[in-house]
Amino acid sequence: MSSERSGEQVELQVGDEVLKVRSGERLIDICEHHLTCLTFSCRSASCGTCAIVVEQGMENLSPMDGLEAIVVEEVSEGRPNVRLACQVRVLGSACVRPLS
Amino acid sequence: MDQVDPVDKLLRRQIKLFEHAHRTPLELKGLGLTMKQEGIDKSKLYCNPDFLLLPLRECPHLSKLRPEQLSVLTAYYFARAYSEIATSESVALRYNMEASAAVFPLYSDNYMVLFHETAEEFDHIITFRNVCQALLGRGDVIGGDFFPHLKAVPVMLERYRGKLCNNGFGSMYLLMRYILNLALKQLEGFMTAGLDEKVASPLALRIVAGHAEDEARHLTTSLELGLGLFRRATPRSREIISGAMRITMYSMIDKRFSGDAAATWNFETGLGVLQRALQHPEFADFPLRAEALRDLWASEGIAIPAGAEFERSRRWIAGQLNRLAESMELALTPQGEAFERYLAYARGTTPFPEDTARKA
Ligand code: FES
Repeated sequence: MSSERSGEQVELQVGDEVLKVRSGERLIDICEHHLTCLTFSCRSASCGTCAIVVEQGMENLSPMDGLEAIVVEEVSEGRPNVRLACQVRVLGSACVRPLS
Repeated sequence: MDQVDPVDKLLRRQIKLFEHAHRTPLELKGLGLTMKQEGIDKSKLYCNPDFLLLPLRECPHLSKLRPEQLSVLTAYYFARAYSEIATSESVALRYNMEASAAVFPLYSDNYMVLFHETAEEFDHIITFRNVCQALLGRGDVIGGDFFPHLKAVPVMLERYRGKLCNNGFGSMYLLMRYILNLALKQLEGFMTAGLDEKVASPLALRIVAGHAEDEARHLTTSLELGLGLFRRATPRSREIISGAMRITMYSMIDKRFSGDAAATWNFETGLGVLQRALQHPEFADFPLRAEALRDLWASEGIAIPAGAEFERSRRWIAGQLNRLAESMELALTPQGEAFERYLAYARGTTPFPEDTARKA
């Protein structure tokens, strides 16, 4: 599916990299395009490979659905602010890093 | 420190994911049947035409295709893709229950995870049979095609039956299944990417999305359970599995990472699809056959374009193969240009090409 590219420009920090991105884009697409430090496998909320910790801007990410919540519960091992990059849309500025 | 066995940890997650899937079931069969009733909707595209690796803009004949002809071409590609996927799933079916019964007690949780996946494979095969009938207009289309460079997979499983310990047999089956899962996900995960929802067939998009969700679970089970059992296998079995995986991975790398787009499996598929599409009534006025077109591209120096989605799909699969090799501590010996390219993709040292092109 094509990403929404018509949104506002926002700042996204992934690891040490600061990127200018359009709001509405899927985090996985952004990271694939910019070859960031995040890795992916199933791309559909099953494997947990793309788990990230959201250090800032959780409120600027799309809400978590049931499938993502199941995998996050298993892979986060109780750590807070964990999301799956393959499920998240970036709606405003945020700062994330890989979980492991 | 977490003391939970990785196999148990995976199991816990997969059971929850299955429970979730069963609470919100999406049977694909109905979508396949609807497609069968509707046939090709010639106002829509069934996949991103760029993913066919044909010179659709560069070739003087293909660049004049009418929207209806492009629709037929993409519909045929969609059908061909799912014919290959269904064939690889039918291989999975043959071994799924057998491998799980060799390793796990009947009706245990691990056994049941594989049982659910087997049931899903049946649903998919029935769906894709209807898809092929809908788009290609004939019945017995499943079973004819198989990812050609992976034909050795069922042969290897058969060859090593009885020579591996039970954990080893389960592991080899699941890791081979992982290779097949990767092949189909490279195809499915990217073929509708970048396609505007207004021009895409809504049924095609729903089938891709629905199947991708099931396959995500299968991919995860194949890799994590396969690796878990690999670690439990005897040293002799591990050695045999490593050898078989090495051969399979080389074959995959050779046919998918050539710098010459015309030498990749995807181009062969695109050309095969074009060949069949040219027999469709919509192409009655088309002046050349596929082989003549191919000769024309070669003589005129017309490039085979490897578009952005294709390159993304190669980067993704390179990362997955590399991860597998590292997890199994497989020493892969560099073997030529395709291997170097695979490594560059896997390590992220290839810049993202918006559009690269090679000669036909
Ligand atoms: S890539 Fe598998 S959960 Fe995101």
